[in-house]
Amino acid sequence: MELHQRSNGSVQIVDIDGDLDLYNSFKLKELVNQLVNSKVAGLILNFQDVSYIDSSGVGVLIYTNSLLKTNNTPFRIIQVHGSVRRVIELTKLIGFLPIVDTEEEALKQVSGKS
Amino acid sequence: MNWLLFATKASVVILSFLFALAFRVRVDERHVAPLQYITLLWLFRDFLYLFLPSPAVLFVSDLAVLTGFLIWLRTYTGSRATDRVWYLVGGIASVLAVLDAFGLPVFIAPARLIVWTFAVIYLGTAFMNVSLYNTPGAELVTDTRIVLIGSWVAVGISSLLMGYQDLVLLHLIHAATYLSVWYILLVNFQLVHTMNELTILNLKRQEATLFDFMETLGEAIAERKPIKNILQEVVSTAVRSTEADGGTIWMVQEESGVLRLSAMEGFYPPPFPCPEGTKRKSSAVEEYLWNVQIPIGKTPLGEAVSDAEPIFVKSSDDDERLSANIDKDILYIKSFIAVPLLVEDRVMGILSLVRRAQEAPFSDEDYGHVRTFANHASMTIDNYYTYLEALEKREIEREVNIAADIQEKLVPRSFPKSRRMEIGVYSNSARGVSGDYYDVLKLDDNKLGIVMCDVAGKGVPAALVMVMIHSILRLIASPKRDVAATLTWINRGLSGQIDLDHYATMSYLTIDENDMVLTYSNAAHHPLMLVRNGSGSIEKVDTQGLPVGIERDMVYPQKRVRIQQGDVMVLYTDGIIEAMNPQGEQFTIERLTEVVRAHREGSATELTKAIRSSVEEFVGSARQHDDQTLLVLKAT
Amino acid sequence: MATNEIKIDDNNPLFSTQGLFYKEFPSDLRQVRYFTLLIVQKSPPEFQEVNLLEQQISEIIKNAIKHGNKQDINKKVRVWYGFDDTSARLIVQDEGPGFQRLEEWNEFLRHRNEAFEQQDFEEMAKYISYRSPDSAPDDGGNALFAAVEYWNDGVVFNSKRNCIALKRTFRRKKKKAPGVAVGQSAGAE
Repeated sequence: MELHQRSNGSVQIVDIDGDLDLYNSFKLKELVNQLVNSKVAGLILNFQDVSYIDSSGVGVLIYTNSLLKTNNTPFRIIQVHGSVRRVIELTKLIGFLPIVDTEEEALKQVSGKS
Repeated sequence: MNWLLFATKASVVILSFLFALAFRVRVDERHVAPLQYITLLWLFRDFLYLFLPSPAVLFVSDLAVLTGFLIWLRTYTGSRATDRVWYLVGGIASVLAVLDAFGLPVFIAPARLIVWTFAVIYLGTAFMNVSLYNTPGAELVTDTRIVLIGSWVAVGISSLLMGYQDLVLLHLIHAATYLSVWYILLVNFQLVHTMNELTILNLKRQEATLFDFMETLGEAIAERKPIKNILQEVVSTAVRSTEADGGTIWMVQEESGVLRLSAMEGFYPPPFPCPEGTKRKSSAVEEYLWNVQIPIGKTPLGEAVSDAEPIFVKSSDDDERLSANIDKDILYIKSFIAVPLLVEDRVMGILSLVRRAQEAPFSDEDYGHVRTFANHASMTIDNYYTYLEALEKREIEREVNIAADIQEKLVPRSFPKSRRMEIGVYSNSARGVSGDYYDVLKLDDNKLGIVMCDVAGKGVPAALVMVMIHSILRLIASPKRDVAATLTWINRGLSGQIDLDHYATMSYLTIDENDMVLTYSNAAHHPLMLVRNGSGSIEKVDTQGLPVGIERDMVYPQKRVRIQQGDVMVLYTDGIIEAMNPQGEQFTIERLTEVVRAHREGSATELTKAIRSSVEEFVGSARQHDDQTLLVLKAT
Repeated sequence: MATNEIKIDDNNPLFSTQGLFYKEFPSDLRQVRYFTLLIVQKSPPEFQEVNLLEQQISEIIKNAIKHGNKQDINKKVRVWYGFDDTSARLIVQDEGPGFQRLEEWNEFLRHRNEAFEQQDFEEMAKYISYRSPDSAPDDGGNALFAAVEYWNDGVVFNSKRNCIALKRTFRRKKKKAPGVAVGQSAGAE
């Protein structure tokens, strides 16, 4: 799994490429911690290239969501599809996690709030 | 006044009466009756005036005619308490007028005028207060009232100027007022005609909507658009054709038993309470809608789904189902339709539309239209799923075949010639698995390389892993390179790949025909079964190691064994020992060992055949779950 | 119907291993994806969402390795599994002390489902991830929540609580638009 960072204005977008599971979701957690420490103004996680997630991956999403909420930093997850979406659905977190379809939509919401 | 004039006027009145009878189209009995009484009143007045030419006859009957119009109006609006004043004033004025006619001069002309003025103002105001919004269906009143009020004013003014018994007034102006009933009925006729045209237009529009919809859908289906686009098309069409302010489609999520928003058009306030924070901005409401999950059976939408019954709330004013939407804020809904999307005995989801303007609720026709449309849409959605299923089946079949083709091309068709080794192979692929791979390589004149491999997973991805192993092996296998090193390299090659599950167990061995030394290295595959000639003892040749593709830095060990003439070596995959019979029992390593022991004297090919028929006999009619591969070597 | 709680029932038919395949795995977390692929490999090609099936099986095996066998490489995970045209079955047994906090977990699930049903995300936030003193920092604490939804035909433990049996029934053979039968509400009602 690889994490590619880019920014749009003050918003950080992380494109995740590969599986988000037990073996590597800690990498994402570390990156999120690092971004929060550097006072990121908004975060978008792009799941376009993620086709596998497990409970640890979901755990990192929950962690990120609550950490950014505590910090009042807007956060969105985009392009969640296939079995990844199904896993989040099964865990009943679709309404709970801030998932939107497109990057455009997410940027609008995130920048509107920051 | 003479009979001839009376006859002329009477004929006009009688015709009016007949006219009123004939053109009762679209106007029900209670609206027509007052008009008929008015014409009868006129007839009676003119007839009475022939014998009793008193202004009182004219005055009282005119008051009665105006009362008739008031009653006519009230058939639309319902009765009003203030009308008591009308009847009181009218009653007193009539009594006074009659007394006046019998010689008591209490009710002179100016008094008549005052009463008339009051009557016209009262009646005029009552007529002008009517609007289509407070009194639905009163088009006939609103379209004719100006002319009617005008005629009453005209009669009033003329009688003031010309005197009550002026001939022109009596014979011309009065007669002209008779035409007001003709006028009302003509306007009615026109209205009915327009309504019919509207209905036809509406039907045509609905037909056009359906046609457009079908056409757009056809395109969407041909392009294999995702179901989401189809639903979007359904909801936009529904909103457009009913002039709704917003519409949504919620689909049942089979897994979780909830409804989720699948398509939205316009602005749709949720018909259930939503969090305080979202109430201010329409974008926040929309975001909330996209995320909310409605349990089936809860909220009007969930109820409509669990009951499989449509809901129509014409006005939220008097319906508690929309109690979340009665405040006049952005969540206000005036009128609400929700129609389940039904196929056979299943509810797929629900189509819901709202109108928000206070004065424009959905009509019964709109509701009917939505129901028809929802039926068409459900059928289409269901058909689309069937279509997708057919495509998917074809896709599966295609994938299965691709994988099988790859596998078939990778395994050897014939084996290299060997001086001292006999080789027998049996391989039987299970449909859709394509994970077993074996190969026999001639490394040099005296050295054979043999690989047996079981890729974890199935289908095209498994076949791709097979291709990779095949390529790497062909690239690096050489008489100089250690067996263990070869395996180590293959593992390293596979572990570098991201985005591909790439695990396989594999045994690799070489046999040097000069010294008959077998070198074996194993990546978690079944150990090599070595049956010694003579004693018939069975040895398991194995080395430690993970399957290839798991740990990049794995270093595999190897083991050397000297083999003698008549020794038999068997390599096999899971599919052989896990082959299942109809009773659910597996073939097991024990049965395999038995068969090998029993037939070890025969040639490699004979032994292979024996194992094969033993497995086949065991399995019988049961379904094969996994590729079965067996490779037998015999030293000669 | 999704399971509202995980029951303990040694006599549950889901524990019957008749007709199931069997494998033993070492408690090696690195190999879980591989083990799972081996299992899923035997499912019919027509199965939908094989990735999801694989993911759900791997969660159960991961649980057995992590919480049951505490990643002791010498302890085995025993797995029985089988498929037919419309269902998948799985039994996973570890050599650990068993899931002693099952009652507590069930209670937690109940709260979670209630909050979810009311769409009360503030309340639900308290019940997002299940944590116990045994939880590791990288535990999602949510795997079993998905499991009771996914394995829609039953999730049971044996009385030692170190063996879990699960069954999922897939939609009817013919794929249709998703929906609920008229007169019946789906899901965790």
